[in-house]
Amino acid sequence: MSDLDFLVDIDRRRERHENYARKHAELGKYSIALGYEQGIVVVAHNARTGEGIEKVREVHHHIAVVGSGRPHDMEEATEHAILEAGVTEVQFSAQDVLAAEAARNLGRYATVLFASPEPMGGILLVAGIDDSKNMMYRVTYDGEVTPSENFASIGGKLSDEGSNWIEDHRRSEYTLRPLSDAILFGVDCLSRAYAEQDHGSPKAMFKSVLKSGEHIEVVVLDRSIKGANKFAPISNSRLRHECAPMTSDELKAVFASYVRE
Amino acid sequence: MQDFFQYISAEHPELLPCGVGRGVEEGSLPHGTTVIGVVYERGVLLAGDRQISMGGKKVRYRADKIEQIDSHSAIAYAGTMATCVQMAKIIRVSQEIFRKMNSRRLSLAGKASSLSQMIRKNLPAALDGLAFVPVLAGYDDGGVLYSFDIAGHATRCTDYAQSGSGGGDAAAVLKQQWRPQLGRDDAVGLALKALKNAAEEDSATGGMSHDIPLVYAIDASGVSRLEDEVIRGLAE
Repeated sequence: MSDLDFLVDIDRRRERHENYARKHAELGKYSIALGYEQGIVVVAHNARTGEGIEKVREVHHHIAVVGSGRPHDMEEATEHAILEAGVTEVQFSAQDVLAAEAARNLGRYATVLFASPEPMGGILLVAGIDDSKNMMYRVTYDGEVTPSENFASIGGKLSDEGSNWIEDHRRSEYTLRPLSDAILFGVDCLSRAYAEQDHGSPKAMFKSVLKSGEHIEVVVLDRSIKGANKFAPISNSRLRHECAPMTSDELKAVFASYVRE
Repeated sequence: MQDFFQYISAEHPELLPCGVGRGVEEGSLPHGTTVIGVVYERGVLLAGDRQISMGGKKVRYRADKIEQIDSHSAIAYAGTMATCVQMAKIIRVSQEIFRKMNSRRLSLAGKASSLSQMIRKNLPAALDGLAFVPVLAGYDDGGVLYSFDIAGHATRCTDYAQSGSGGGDAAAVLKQQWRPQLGRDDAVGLALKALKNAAEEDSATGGMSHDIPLVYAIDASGVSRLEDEVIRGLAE
């Protein structure tokens, strides 16, 4: 950006920033948050699982955030959310740290950056639970915050066909089902997005996850967990266990439904 | 990676205790007094009386002067209560934030260093009479204590540590009777004896007559608060 950036028409600058941020958001991997009977499960593609570089991060005991976009920008935004949650806890109390507040905070953060020479390159998803309700928020690069209750996704660039499939199935089959169903649906969606983005095979991805749990990060915000901290990453071994109940017929049905084989 | 304490110092300084630029009249603010730490064979414990004093006056009993920081560490504090409570809250939240940002807990030495910086930053307020002088206890392959002075210098102790107006009197007992390989119950008994001695010599330290002292034990399994009945039994 040049020093003469202020001479550029506001609409053109906005458009340029949007293109820049959207490009990075689409380059980022697909992540999904789903409501299940005890809370929310967040499923994210992470090629570096096991290296201590998590994508799904704990903002507070009952709030998670995952980003899709430039890793550095996502890390900065996540740190901002964690620090501001800490400020709320010190200023008021832990009960006053809410997912909605965290999302609004990130929205303000993104808005400020959007007006700066270098906007936030990506999109964030904030998920949080309280005693009875699940809440999810998509926070875009320009600071717009979109709430939803039991389903939200970010990242990747799904075809209309892929998006429609996910939209249809999430409504009809999976919402507020047991955890294993929610995880399987999340892995299924991720496999489709992965295949479309990297021209790979959704079947190979799905099988690889079921077999090894690699390249995937699963975190739950679960009301039934005792104690204050409801944020719990699911280990690879538990992931395999959760996915294990699928019969071969059910697996065949999943594979048969893939858009591109 | 930003440190939470630095972040609030820069962005939210109103959350930090601050000096008023002139000394607070002695005895005009509630103070927490004697707290001690004792290392025992399998861990470390923190104990504190439950009294809050304002000059020569006892203003409140049943005060908690120990705060759990995370699963394996806690602090006991002496000083101006308003400052102590706020600082303890900031320390607990900052350790949580470190864990969230780094996916690991800070080492005990790291916690001591971080606490030193906070106490040093509080020095102008401490000189105005708003002091915060904690004892940090944690389990790191064994029980370890850190004591601090008002300017933030940390001293690692592998036997016992104390803070507050009755600390010297408590230390006199601890110095005489502490020995390596103490069992937990013996260590609790020793801590109670030290607090009793402090209460006898220092009017700002509460004894056992109003409230049973607060005792936290920290070992490999984590931090646990001892029940009043258990403490009462060990005091006899």
